Amino acid sequence: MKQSKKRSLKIVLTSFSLLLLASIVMFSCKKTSTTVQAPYVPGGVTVQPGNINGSIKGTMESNQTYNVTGDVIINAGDSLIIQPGAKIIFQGAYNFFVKGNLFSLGSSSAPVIFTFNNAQKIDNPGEPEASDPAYVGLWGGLWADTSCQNLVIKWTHIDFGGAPISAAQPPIAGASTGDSYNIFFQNPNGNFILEDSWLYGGTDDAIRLKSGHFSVMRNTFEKGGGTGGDLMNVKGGGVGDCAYNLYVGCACNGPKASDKGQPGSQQTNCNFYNNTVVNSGYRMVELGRGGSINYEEGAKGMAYNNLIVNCRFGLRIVGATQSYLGNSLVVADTAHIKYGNTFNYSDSTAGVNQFYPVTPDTSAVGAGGVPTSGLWTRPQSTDIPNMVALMPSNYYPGAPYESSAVDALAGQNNPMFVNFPLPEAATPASIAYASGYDFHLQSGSPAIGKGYTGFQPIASVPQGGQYGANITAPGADIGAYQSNGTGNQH
Amino acid sequence: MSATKKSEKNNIAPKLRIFFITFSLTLIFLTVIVASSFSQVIKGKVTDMQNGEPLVDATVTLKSTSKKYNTNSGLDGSFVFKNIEAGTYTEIVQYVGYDDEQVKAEAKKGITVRNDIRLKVHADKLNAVIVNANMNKGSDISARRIERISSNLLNIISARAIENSPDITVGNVLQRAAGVSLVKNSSGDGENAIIRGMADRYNYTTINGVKIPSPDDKTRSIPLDIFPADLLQRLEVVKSLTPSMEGDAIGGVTNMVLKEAPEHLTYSLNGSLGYNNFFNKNAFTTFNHSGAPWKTPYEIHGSGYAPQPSDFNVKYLEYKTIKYPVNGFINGSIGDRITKNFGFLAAVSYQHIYKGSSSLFYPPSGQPQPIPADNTPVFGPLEYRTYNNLENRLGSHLLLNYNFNEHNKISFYTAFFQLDRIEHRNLQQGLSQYLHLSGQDYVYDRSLFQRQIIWSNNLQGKHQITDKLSADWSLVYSKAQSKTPVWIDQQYSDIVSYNNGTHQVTSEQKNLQDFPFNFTHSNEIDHSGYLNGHYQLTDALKLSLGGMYRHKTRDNVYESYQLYAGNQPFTTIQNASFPRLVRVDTTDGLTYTSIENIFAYYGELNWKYKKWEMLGGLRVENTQHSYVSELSIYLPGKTGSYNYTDYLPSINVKYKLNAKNDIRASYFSGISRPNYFEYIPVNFSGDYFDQRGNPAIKHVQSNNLDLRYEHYFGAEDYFMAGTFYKHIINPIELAFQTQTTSQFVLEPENFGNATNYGAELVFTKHFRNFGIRGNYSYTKSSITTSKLVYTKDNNGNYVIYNSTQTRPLQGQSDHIGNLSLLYKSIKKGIEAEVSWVYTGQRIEIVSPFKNLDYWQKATSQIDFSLNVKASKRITLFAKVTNLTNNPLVLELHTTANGYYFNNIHYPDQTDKNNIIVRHDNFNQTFFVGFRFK
Repeated sequence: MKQSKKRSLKIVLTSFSLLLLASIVMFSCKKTSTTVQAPYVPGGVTVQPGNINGSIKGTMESNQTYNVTGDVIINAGDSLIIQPGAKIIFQGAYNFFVKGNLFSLGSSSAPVIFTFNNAQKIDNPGEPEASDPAYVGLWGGLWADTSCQNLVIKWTHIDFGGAPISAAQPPIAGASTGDSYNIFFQNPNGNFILEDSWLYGGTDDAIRLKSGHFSVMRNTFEKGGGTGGDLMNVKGGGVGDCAYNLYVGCACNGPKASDKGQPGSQQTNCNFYNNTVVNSGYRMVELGRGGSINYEEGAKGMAYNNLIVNCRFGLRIVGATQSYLGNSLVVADTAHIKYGNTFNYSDSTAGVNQFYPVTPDTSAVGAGGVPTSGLWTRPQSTDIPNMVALMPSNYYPGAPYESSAVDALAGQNNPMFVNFPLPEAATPASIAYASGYDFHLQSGSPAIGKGYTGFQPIASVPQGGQYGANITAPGADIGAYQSNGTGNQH
Repeated sequence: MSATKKSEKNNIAPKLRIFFITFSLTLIFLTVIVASSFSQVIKGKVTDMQNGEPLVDATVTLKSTSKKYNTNSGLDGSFVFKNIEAGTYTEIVQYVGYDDEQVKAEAKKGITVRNDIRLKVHADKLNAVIVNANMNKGSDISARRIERISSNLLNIISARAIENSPDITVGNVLQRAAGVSLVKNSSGDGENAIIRGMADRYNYTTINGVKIPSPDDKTRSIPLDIFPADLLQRLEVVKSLTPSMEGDAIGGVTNMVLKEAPEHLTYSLNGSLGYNNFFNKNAFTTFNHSGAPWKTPYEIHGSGYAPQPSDFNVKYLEYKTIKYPVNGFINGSIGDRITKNFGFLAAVSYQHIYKGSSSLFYPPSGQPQPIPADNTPVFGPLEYRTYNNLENRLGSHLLLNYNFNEHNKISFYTAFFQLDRIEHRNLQQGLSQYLHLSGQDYVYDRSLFQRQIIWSNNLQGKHQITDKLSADWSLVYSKAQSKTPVWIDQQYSDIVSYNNGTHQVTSEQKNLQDFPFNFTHSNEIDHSGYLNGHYQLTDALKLSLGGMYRHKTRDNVYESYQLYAGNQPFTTIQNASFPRLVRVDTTDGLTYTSIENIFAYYGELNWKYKKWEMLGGLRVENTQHSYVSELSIYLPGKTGSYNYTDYLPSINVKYKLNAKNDIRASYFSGISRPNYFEYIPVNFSGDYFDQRGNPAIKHVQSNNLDLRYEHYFGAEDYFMAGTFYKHIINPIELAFQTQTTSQFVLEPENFGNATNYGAELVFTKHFRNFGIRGNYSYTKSSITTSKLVYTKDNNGNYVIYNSTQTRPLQGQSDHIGNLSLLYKSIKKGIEAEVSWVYTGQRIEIVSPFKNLDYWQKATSQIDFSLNVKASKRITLFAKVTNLTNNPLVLELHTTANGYYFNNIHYPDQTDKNNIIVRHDNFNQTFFVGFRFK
């Protein structure tokens, strides 16, 4: 009996130690394997006129036509150069995914054209959003990946884009299903140059600049966004100048700056100067949003010499984080925003009373008992009209300021466009296009000579030559068209 | 503001009322007991002569020439006769399996006489068998016995305890176990278990010891609210693994043991009606889900099809109301041994439950702001959500036993569970609902019809081949499915004006936005085989060798079709027109197929020597996993395959100090496999942030130590104290990735090493008719992850930099406690239980930013149940859950005051040190019913 117990003890101990030994041995020679499918990177094919899709590179030649029959990819390291007069015709809701470089180099006499097969513009006053093909998004957009160093677009028409991405994961980073932008850029160290071009139609933000260096100058933007969306929405880490652009009929803002999603130490810093913004902000559903030019959520920069005509709101700067009738406002970097020399015009008293946007909700009391408000644009003596003296005695930015003297400004200070009758014939939002009109200033316009030129562009992108930016310094006349012939060339 | 106060007052009133009712009930009990005490008293205790263990429910009779009194011994073996005439009695004690005992007892005037009785086991061996047969397998006593006999660490909740508890789903029962806390679903029911601070990914769920597949479209976890509690014989929470158990648990294993085939004809039926008083103030709203399409447009027409708006039926957005909806459930079971060789048990359970809840939520904005302080929280517009859930829960199981002879037995069981959830979620984003302000609201109406199914079939055999050699095997086919034929998120903007005089909110302009129809299918199928052999080497030593193979396939489909509404003025959904679709997406991260093959084998030794018992050995698990996703071929990770082998040693040691005291120690190595989708690098939208998988994810490994002391001092009374320590290698947590964008994507990542340790205490003590049962556990885990800080640099520029923060694992509470007060009178046929569950604060949402994690505040819930025996076979019962209407509250541990509602007094912001970010109300649920046996 005792013997057997001893024996069993022995067996137990031996077995356990054997198991232990075995496990140690096996631990040391553990084998694992992992195989994850690598991305398929076909070599870029040198592009030829005719049907195009897949990976391409090389040069699209002058006056040739390229039919896009599938998504086009420009591989990282490859470049695609488009010569003046080339036509790129989309046959479906396809996209350009730019992982390398894209240089679309049109000329004033022979612009490059990106458009949809047989799409016709319907430019009627008051055309409903639902029936205007501009807001359908017939093809996708130009999507730059994080590896895209240069997206340079000069003298190019980009019409009828804005179809949403319908893959959960398109073949670039930073975008996902439902995103619908005509142009998308995101490399914080890359360069986005858009000059002397035309952008027509869209469903959300026409240009979404998630990050990066940019120069957007002398362009004409029409019908940006469907029922929301800014013409150019700059997010965290966007640094550059946006000037001499004409915006007509944007759903929300013309240019907008926000520091949302700032990468590292690059804070959003945008100079918005000498822009002409007309009839914008009315297709936006959200109350308190959209209008003309906007700074919010940690963004900084300078805004001078902008001409704002019949927009939902004047220059809008968010000065405190709070509610605007239920929609949230998040404060901009107001310590580093400078502005002035804004020319405001409105047909209506309602519009006049939003030259300096009003916060309808009760305002908070900030440091030292001074009211701080969700909207913070303070009238400047350099603005036209100069309304500093018209403000009530207890006025603070964001507070209402209506008076008979203010209301009397409706229809006053006509900027005197060459061909755009003011007051407008119909409700302000009814004209969302520029064709048939001329937004140059007549001689004798009150905007001439009222610009502020004592500051420098940020000039964050390379300049000069065929591929670099051609930056126009701040102009003496307010708005995009200068009487000396500089500024917007359209 | 005054309105807010008013509603607070209204909330307090019912709480007071309920408290008062509870209080009076308790008072009545006490009065009954006190009133029954008289001057002459004979009391005592019935125990086993041999081991001194108390005998429960023994019949005690007092007989004199003129009088006869009867009683039964209580749970601690004690009995008492009160209010008896003075005089001399014969006291007769009877207990099945024991010899009768007779003693003389004298009741003297005004004196309490103590008369303890010790019974001797009946000499005849047959009777001992009877004792065992009479031992109800679902009883608490049997649960304690199993816990004690078991070689590894278990906590068991018996069928009796479940029956007497306030719970009707397995999810809710589980929170009564030591060290377990719950993650609740939108209607407040426990859905997933956190065991010892380890989230559900570190645990697995079995039926009768066999793993079941998951119908969840994302994880491996089994939604525990799918199982009706009534089908269980017992619920086991296993906290240390043995070599014969599957090795992918680090926290623990939840094992549902279904009812077994009885020895003779037994049947039971119970039914109940109930009500959730959430619907006192809120009418229940729902939609007619009949005719819901089980196939997506692409499945019907083929993938080349261009879907039309007419393919999508908006009738599911037409809501109807039901006032005072009545809940009901009915459970029945029947079992018999028809011939000597053949027995069966069949059980069905059906529940039809209306659940409502409301939730006030301050959604986190994409990022905080750097002023006035770093990472000052910013919120999106306030959201007020109302859930109207109709849950139809069907559970059934059939068990067939066939004994060829004494040595060869086979059994087959099939279990089928189905949960239909019809959910109408109304979400008001804005201010009018709560702040009574004019402004712009956004209204989101979700119609969701989801069907989840689990079906498991198991053919088992047991063979005693020789005296020393035995074998058992199982062949399993299981299937889990989830489908959402209706999932529509309609949305419109609503400009409203609030009239301060009439307090009416008037809608002035509604505009319908584009909205999606989503379809999800998830289908998981397991084919498994198990084979175990056992050889008795010596009397004291048993060797077991075994293995298993499982082939698992999973198909997931997520399709989204967005209808164009273009901001059209909105009146009713019937009047809305949809000219086209905006978008179709069939390539979501949740569209994939996965195959997982697991081959495992083990060697196990079980050795008993004097007071020692040891069970240990080595298990080897090989995992082959592969997936195919819908990802573009231009991106890395469209497909992937993984092969790894784990060697999992374990040992459980038990030392019997003496008859009443045991000490246990255990070590095991366990793993946790990533969820299927977690490999796949495709975005999909999560609750608060987008998510995507990570093809480089590794499985989690761990080493776990346990030490436990157990003290048994009655039939059901015991005390356990233990500690545990876990070393976790490559724990998986969701981490935030910036996509150089304004949005963050949650991605699973391995985080070096983490530790988790704690202590547990479990006790039950009965005092004649009263009992107290409780447990407490302390858990401490820590993990360090990177966090962003948004701040100003010296020049006043805004910068974001990476920092780190150490925190507990997501979902881990420091303190978890349960306390139940029991009252049981066998004579009066009354059982009552008041249960209190406490779950300490824990992290609910991890923020990418430092100090901005969303914490769930400590919760404290009280439930009540009452069983009254109306006749020999019929028991009436009542169950009330969430007596005090305990809310679920999330908060931010920061006082930085820059958030967007700084200009208005917002509801619930009463805490000076924290910001309340979510407040959910579930109200009380009541049930009354009968049980027939």
